Amino acid sequence: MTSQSSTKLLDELNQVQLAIELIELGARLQVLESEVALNRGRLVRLYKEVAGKSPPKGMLPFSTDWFLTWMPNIHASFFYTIYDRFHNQQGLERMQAFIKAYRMYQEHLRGTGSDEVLALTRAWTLVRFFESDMFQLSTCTSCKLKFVNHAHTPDSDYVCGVCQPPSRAGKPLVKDSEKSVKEAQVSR
Amino acid sequence: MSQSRTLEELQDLNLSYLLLVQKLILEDRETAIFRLKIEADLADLLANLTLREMTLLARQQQSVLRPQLASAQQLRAVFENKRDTGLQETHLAMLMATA
Repeated sequence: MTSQSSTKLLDELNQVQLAIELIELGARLQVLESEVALNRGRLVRLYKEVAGKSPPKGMLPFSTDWFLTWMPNIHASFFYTIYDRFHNQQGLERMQAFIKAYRMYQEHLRGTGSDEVLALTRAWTLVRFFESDMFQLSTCTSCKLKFVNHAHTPDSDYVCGVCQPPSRAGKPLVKDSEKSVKEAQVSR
Repeated sequence: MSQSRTLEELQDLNLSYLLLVQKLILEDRETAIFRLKIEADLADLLANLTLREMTLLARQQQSVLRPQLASAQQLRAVFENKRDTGLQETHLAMLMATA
């Protein structure tokens, strides 16, 4: 075997590995098609084997507005903060940074018992929107953290949705009652 | 007397920390660098310290750890936000993730 063909085999293995990780984290087929250098047929087969079902059909959510709604904006901004540090400060290649950031996001959800707001495909769409300059980061004047915002929005007096939540924002009632049930069980 | 006991505690903490650092880096170098907030070259150096070197470092009269928190002003903004939207933990995690 020549060294060239063994590199090729390794490349392919890496691509398969990347696809598996993305599928495990919940990626839609469209994400795989644009990030993994394997043909569609192989991706579909991999998807079936790893996820145990056929890939769902239909278009990806394509709206920048969703990321600007209250709760999604906070989760998206949190995820992007992690991604940005892995990619731009630690210099990880974008998909490596993306996967590690998404794992950390999930770890946070598990640790705090929060529901997933930003599914992997949404997180990926977010990164793509940043890459095509549709978003900017606006710094909150109160907590000084950076939040996802439409590009070219004047933001010198921006305040984030945690520091200044909309008046009706709060924990959903259902979750509150679940929590109090859980607490009651613990205290028993 | 009690002061030397406390110093020993600090030295124990130093050693536990260094051992944990090695474990974290071994598990996942990039995520460890993220969590520990250290430079890559320091991470590689710490990962390769021998037990003897770690003990030497740990036995110093000083801490090998330094709080890697955000500014007091930013922490205050997160903690003193009294609107309970259930997002304080996420807000804090976001603050911690900002290097």
